[in-house]
Amino acid sequence: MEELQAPREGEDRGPGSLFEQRLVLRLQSGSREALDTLFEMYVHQVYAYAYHLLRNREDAEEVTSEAFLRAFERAFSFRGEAPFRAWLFGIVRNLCRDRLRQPRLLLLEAQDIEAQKDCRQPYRQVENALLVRQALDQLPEDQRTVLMLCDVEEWDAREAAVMLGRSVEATKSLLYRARRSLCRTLTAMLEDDES
Amino acid sequence: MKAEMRCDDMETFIDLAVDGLLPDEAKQRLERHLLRCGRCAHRFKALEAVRAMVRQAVPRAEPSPAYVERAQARLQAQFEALFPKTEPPSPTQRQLPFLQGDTNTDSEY
Repeated sequence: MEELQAPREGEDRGPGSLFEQRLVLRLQSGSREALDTLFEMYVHQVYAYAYHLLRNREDAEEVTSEAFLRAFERAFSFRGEAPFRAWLFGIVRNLCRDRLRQPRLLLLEAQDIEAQKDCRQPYRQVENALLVRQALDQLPEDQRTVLMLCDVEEWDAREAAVMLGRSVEATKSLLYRARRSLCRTLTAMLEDDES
Repeated sequence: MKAEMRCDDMETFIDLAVDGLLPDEAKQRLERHLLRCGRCAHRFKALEAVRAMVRQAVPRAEPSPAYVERAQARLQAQFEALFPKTEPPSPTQRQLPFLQGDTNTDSEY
């Protein structure tokens, strides 16, 4: 069993790889080892994405757990037409949207503040990072998501397209629009700052 | 001699160049344009800077090891509930179907 699951020497084990496809097939046939491996492969990325959308550790943890449970329950409906990661992140995105619709207290997370105020970073860098975060917050959700996927997580546009339910061309167009919007927003913020 | 490109036509070139996806010939045309057009040169530099800044400004949030352990245990429990471990039948159990309702097996031999 373990032999089947282990990646072959030098084999790609990234999203959409044959290794991932074998894992998903084994999950569909009820393999707990496959479930554990997929969880370990993606739990950090899923949490980071949920946290990015929700900005709250507790919510991100709950959504991460829920997403894996849901993915596991629905694994039989996954037909492998897209990378498993894109499918999984689609579940995370829907769960985050549901959660954001619920009335909630918006609390600034301690982790968030600490990450920005890391004393090892030069002051100007911290200030820039805060400005970029503020500018990102002003973008529509789909633009923030595509920036997060392509520019932060370095996803391929084809995979991001699957997750966003758009064509590759539409995804690239959204990404370029998002960068230009962010650029304009940042410029306006910097000008306000100077005046 | 190719016609000179206008700034509006450069937008797509700039977007692709920021991602390093612009083919060589188009790249040369863009570079020639950027040398003459301060506005497009500024736009290109700003987009490159923004792309780098986003990566620096959005640190990846990491889940705590305690949470990861809890979540995995919960997932495993869910798995066990759906796919309960079944013990392989004992040799006696394996024989039971043949023995049930047939108490005279000895007489057949």
